[in-house]
Amino acid sequence: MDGNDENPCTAAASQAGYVLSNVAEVVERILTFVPTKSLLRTACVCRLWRNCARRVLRTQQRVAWVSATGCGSDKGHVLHRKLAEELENMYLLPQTVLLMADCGTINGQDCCYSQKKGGNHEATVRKTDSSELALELNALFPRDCEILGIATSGVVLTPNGPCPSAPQEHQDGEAGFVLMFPSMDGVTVRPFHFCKRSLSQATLEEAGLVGNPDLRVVLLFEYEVFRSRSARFLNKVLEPLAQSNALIAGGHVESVFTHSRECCGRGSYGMAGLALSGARVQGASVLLEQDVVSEKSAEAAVQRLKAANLPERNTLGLMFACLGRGHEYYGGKRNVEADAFRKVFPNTPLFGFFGNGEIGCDRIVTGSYTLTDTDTDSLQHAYTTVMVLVHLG
Amino acid sequence: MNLEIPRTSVFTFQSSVHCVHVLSCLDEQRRKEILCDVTVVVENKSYRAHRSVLAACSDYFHSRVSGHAGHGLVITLPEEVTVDGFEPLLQFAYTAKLLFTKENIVEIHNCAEILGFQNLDKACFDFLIPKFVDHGKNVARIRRKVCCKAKCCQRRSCKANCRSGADEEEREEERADADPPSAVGANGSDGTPSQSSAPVSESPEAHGPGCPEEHAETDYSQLCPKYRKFQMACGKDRCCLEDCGPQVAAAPPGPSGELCASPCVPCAGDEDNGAADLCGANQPETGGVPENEAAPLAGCLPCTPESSTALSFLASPDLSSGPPAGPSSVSPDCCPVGLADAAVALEGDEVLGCGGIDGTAAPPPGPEGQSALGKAADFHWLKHLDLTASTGDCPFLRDLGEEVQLPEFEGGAQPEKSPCISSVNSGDNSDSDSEGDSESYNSERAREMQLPFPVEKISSLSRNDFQHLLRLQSLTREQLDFVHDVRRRSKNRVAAQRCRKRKLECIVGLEGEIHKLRSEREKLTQEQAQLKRRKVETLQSLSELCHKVCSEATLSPDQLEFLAQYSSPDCPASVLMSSSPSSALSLSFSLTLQDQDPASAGVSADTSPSGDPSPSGDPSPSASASADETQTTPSLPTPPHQPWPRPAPAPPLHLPSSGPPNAPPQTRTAPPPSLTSAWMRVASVPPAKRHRPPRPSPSF
Repeated sequence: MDGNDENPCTAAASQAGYVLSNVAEVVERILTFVPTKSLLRTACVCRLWRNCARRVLRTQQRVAWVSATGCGSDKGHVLHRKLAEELENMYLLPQTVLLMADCGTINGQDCCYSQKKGGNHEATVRKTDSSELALELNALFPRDCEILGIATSGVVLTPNGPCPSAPQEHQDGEAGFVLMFPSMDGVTVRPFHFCKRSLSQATLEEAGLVGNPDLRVVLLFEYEVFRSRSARFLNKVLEPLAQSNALIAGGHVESVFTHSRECCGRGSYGMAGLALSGARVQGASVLLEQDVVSEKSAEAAVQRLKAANLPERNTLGLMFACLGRGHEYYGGKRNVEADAFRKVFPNTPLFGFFGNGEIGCDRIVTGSYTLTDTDTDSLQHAYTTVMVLVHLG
Repeated sequence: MNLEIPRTSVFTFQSSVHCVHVLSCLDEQRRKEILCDVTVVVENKSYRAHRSVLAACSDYFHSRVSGHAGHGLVITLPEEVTVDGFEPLLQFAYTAKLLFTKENIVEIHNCAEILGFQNLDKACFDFLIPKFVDHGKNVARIRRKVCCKAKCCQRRSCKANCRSGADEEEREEERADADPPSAVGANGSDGTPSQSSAPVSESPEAHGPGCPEEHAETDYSQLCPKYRKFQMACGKDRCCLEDCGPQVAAAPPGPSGELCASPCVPCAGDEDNGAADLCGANQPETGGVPENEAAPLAGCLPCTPESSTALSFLASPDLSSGPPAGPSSVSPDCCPVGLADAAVALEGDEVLGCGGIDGTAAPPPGPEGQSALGKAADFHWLKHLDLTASTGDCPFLRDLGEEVQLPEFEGGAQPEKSPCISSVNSGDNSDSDSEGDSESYNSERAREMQLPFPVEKISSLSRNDFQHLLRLQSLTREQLDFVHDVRRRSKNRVAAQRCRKRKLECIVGLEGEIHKLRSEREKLTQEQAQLKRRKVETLQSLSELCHKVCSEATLSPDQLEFLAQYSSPDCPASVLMSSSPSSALSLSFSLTLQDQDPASAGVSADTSPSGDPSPSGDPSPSASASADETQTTPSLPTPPHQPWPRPAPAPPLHLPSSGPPNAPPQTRTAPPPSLTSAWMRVASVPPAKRHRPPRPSPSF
């Protein structure tokens, strides 16, 4: 902080300056009130402050999120603006970022863009735009922060706030959220990305999806996998995962943008995701199948998630639903599944998307046991919702 | 730490595969039947296993196995445990893997609960069972199980009550797990089994294979209408016992479970033997499992002969022909008695409180009782001879088996049993049961000890005689200990009986008193009502009289005023003030309502004696005051609604540094480029002048 910058210079003169430049406990306590971005700047002042900042940074272990909804403006996605503001006030150093935004607005921008350019292929246009967004986002986050951006047709998010407020399903309109994972003790969050060229046993192992005894939760997002050849590709990833004891959840999304994706040509299929490993990670997932068509049955399904008895603290809810679900599915009632979740887990934030298909099953993964379905073919679904609870240590 | 001591290096080698390997080797051994030292019999199917593994995995097996040393142990599991449920669990014990299917998950859950399997998280069942059950296919099946389970557990809860030897805590525990099923049982007997809630909330337990489907489907109450009557009676019983404390709440299942033995027997006679099967172990003939002659005999022992004979020789003379004589002989007569009265249980209680106990402490009262005791003794011998194949057939036996595992405890705790509980809910035949147990246990121990005199003598002798006897006999240390122990216990028991008896008498006395006081209260309330009525009548006649007098005398207003001055405000003579008949009518109201409603108070104030007859006159001060009140009351609530002066908002928390930490955008908004530069500067471009630049990267 600017005022503090002078303190070391006048340390000899002023008592406050003396304290601030010598008493680590005081400095540390003060620094806990400083948002991380400012904290990092503060850390440049002197060695004591740097050490204190480092210790403070180590205590910031909770996942944070930024959600944005609302009317779009001319300049970029609403999430981008909100993020730029909110990041100033974040109390964590993001190491891995999972971003989801509706592709509708991106497409909308694409449309005018493509009109200008004159009838380009839509997918390519979208990609240019999302890669632009990715670039902008990259600029917002620290350089070594890994960003996994996903564009879907609908977004489920929990608005920002000190205590989690009710999650909202946004099947249309501009919405997006960013989940930020700091570096957490005992939890490794590793993003991965495979395309048809990069997928191999070695890369699977490198990503920690194969031969990783600590693997607990895998979030998978595939794009452009409707092509016939992509089935084999998908199976190659899903098969080892289905037999592992990890919890798998995800879905088919419109597109994925990461900063490392320039390996394949445009329009090719691929898959990205996050692998959460560590002994402290616990997870549970339930599948809301096609016969879950009422509020009651949705709540019953979420109650099953509750029965898994995961700790409530430091726990995230994820929900990957089918495009075909949502309000049309529940007879015009909006937000049914998110409300059911809210009812059962009032203090857990919920994030997710509406996609073109879901990956998931009924599973519980905890430190002492795992409960899995032995049927490995049952990972991919349509017209379902996968509800996941992830406890991060 | 002393630095002088040379540091010894100790290395730890920890293998993560060892436990897996050991387990898989054990599993292989089991499959090849190498080193297996126990045979588990489930529904006529037997499994070979290692007792150490079983004991390590399950509380049930631990308690069953730990007492035995010899080879060739055969454990027969209770009938609730089925092959479907047990096989996966055995596999789990050896492989740490459990395969649930829609069909077997309920069975597994039951078995795991009965057998007390460890490391099997309950969450799994909570997670999966709704999924499987939701689809509604097997609701009927599960319901059937619920019904059956209700039955079994009722018997078990009866057993729980019978176990008076246990101390109070254990009792609580037993009741806790006997409770929910009994609730279901009650549901079922109401004829309205909750179909949807039962399978979900209540994980149905396994049931005996002998339970025929067609009968199990129907309600318990339909099978035995008399049973329902009895249950209703029990309900009454509960009502009248309500004030005896919380323990009673669990009592009804107990007696009903016990008595269900007797009503069920005639049912078996009436209907086909499907019903008899429902009665399960009560019926030696149909009890199944003919491998061991002693098994059905012993199986029926704890329920039928004891409870029913206890009832028969204690509760009423009609029953002396008794259920043990056989279902055919008693079918019509027995029912009304068995179901007789809600008081039966209570009566039995009292009678047993003295009679039954005396009976067992003293020579047994009748042939039935004696045979029961004899059989009990037999049964214990069976247990100790490792003829455990028979014990699984009845939950009673299982529990008894557990009891036998802890004979010392039981014997020791029994005299300390709280008299309150025993008198209220478990005092009936449970006493004779546990007396029988301890008695037989004593005689058995006595045989082991080779005492030179009968055991009964120890307790029956007077103190001097006892001392004399001990001096005469030269006993070993152990024998002496035993003899003293037995004497102490029997004395204790007698003391406890006396105490119980006293309590019962006390309760009876108190009940009488309550009754007396209640009737007195009733009488008084009646009197009060009568007095009230008379008061109203008098008032009415008085006001009529006043009215009449007033109209006849045609008093002048001055006179009226004068009269009013000297009459009490209560007096209806105040009616004289108002000349209009309508106000005269409202008089009695104003009398009663005066202090209830401000509005009516205002009305009565208008007609109050101080006011003059003309309405145009000034209202009296009291009337105006009350009118003011009525006017202001609506406005009274408003002031709190008006905004309070808000306290000044707390000043934002200032850091010692210049700006607030959460710098609002206007002070700190920078265009995105500067923002990025902020991250970039810190994240990537450390100031070069620092000789150890801070690295705010995640590697911090």
